[in-house]
Amino acid sequence: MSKDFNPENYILLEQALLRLPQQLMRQNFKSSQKFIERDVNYISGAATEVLSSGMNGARPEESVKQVDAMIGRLQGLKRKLEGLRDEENALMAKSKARLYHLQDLYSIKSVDDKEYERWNRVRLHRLLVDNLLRNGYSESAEALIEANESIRDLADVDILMQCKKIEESLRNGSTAECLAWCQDNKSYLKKAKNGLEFDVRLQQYIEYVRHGRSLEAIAYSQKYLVTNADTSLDAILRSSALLVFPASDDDDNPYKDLYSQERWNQLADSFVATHHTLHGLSMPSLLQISLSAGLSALKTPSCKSGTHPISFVTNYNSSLCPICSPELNELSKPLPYAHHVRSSVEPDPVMLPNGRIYGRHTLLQFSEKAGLPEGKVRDPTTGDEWDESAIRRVFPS
Amino acid sequence: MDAIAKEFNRLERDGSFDKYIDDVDELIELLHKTRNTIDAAPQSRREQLANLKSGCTAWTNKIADSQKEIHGALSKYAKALDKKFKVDIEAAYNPNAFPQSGDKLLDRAVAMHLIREGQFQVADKLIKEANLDIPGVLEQEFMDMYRILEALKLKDLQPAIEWAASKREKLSQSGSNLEFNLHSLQFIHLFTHPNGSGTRLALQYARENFAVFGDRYLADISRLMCAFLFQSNLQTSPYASTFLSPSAWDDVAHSFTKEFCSLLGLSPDSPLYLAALAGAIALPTLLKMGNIMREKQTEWSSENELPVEIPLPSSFQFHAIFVCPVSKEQTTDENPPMMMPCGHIVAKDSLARMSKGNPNQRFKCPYCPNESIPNQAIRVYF
Repeated sequence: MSKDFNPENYILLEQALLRLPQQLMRQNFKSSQKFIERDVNYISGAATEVLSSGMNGARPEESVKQVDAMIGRLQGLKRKLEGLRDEENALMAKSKARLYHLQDLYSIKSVDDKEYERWNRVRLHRLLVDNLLRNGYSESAEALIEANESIRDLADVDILMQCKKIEESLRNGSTAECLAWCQDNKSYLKKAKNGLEFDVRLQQYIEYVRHGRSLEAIAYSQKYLVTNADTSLDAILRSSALLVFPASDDDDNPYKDLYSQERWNQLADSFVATHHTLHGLSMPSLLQISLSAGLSALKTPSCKSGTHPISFVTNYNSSLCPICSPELNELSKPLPYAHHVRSSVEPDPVMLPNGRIYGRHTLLQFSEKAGLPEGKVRDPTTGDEWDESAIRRVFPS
Repeated sequence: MDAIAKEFNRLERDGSFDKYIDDVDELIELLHKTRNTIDAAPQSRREQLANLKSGCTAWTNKIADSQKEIHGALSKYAKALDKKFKVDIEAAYNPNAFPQSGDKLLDRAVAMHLIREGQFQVADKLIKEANLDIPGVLEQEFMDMYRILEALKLKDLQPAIEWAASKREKLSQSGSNLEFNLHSLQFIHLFTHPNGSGTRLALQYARENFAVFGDRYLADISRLMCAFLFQSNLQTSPYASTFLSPSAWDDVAHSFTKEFCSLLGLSPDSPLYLAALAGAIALPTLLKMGNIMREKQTEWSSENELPVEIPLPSSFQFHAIFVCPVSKEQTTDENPPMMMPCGHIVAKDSLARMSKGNPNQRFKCPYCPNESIPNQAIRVYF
């Protein structure tokens, strides 16, 4: 069927593609604002100073030295801005490549178009790279990008690798990397009222207590936890009780949940969720979203694994069915199958004595190609043979 | 998208940090001029420094203006994106789809996809990084397949013919004509070769290779042999389409891939690719559904069947679909299609309902006046 192809529907799915570089550009701009503000203030002050000291009898060499200092500072600013400019240009180039990729959709007429297939192959390539990166398989991802360099602009290698690094550090019991990230993204986290930083610091506090470093724990709590008393009072109160209950895995330790190592995994998951939300990335990867849709759309009640029909002639051949394939069969098990309101079977259906139904034309053609004499038919699935007279018409609808 | 493209172009033009660099350069130049002038003519310093101060003030304003411009361009672009991308695609995701342990399954599917697509290096890296367990024989087989396909690209049929000969029995059992088709193509290739002695070589080739196909393909062989009558004006002969077809090689490569995969029990197209393609087509519908579910606050139930129909092109239908005309439900293993003696087919549950649960109760077929009892119905397989 060749429905009218509406590119808008498909572009909606690709928001992360454009959003992510845009977010990074915004962060880049904020950095530039910070540097400029600092140096604008400095320059203002320095200019006033050199003027007033010059008016008040400073020697010419003094004035020259002061101006040189200003030049030095400005050159530093210039270097920093050049770095940010290069970053911005890279992000612009990326955005441009992505815009072009999306605009290609507008030249496609229908889902049966060869062009659409080609576009989708690029899309799948990109989705695979994204999925590999999210799972931390950096070498595989890099190798896959190298197979088709134009994908590089469509992938977010650095961001995802950085995220993975911090995630792993949390799973391994280290808070430093995550806290540094929280520092860098302070304003976003504050605006979103996100409690990640508090949770990580709480974990750090728990570690101090776990290792018996009570004084450090108290100091740490005073510095970092108590400041959130208005939002997290319960957590703070509970945590202070830890000073009295040492770490143990006993079932009767009332604070065993706070001491549990499982908290590190929860923190890691929480970090990833926060990170992805900030960057406009979806939590399940786009590959997972696409597959959960596609597998369901293709799945039928007859999809079972292990079917190895001999033929490939019939139109409906389960050995071609992606859901029945060894790759996807296990994966598809938890998914619902597709909803159909109309039957769709081969035209002119006939039934063999073993109850199997095929289209008459397909059955006869298959038997002929298999070299059977005229008047004999063979079941493409089981291989059994009968006389042609044994088949009968059936009426599924 | 036009709005977004427009804002992006504006961003490229107005949002460049080059503005900043230029501004800073200007001030640096002013400072240089000032200090050099004071150096050369110390008596001018009061005037120079006053000039400097006002220059710095002007610079502060100038750079603030640049900031505003850049910020403006960035904001407009961001707004254009916000306007377009209002929906949350996660609404289309079925949270029951990939339980945690499924991660390895997905990685496995990806690795197998890469092998099928001939990306052996990437696949190997992934198998190592993800610690997957994939039988090496699969990779071997596909490396073989790609080797033969590469040869076909260079119009070398030999490896393909060798392969087909080695699998002769299995191929004929499945009704395949591949081996003969390969020989035919080789014959045609020799025949149409520009170097003149082509026809002689073709004849020789036919003599050597066609004999074994005599019983099954006699008609085709005769046809090919008659081509000799037209060898001087092939273009205008009835053989033009077969002998001069530009897609013959692509077709045979495609055929070969299909057969090769079929003997391995696999489909010629990567299942992952087909599933992702189907997903791309299905997502807009599921997105609408997901958003409605969110509004109504219903959950993705663990029902067996999707609640909405997803229209896919006919090339995505791999199984026969039978919807019972009575219950409007698809038949399953638990509720299989049953054929009544009149030849009409309904689902087993429908049969039970029509006969009020009694396997010996007579009932009328919903389509024709025939009466029968459920015990007479036979299970059928589509």
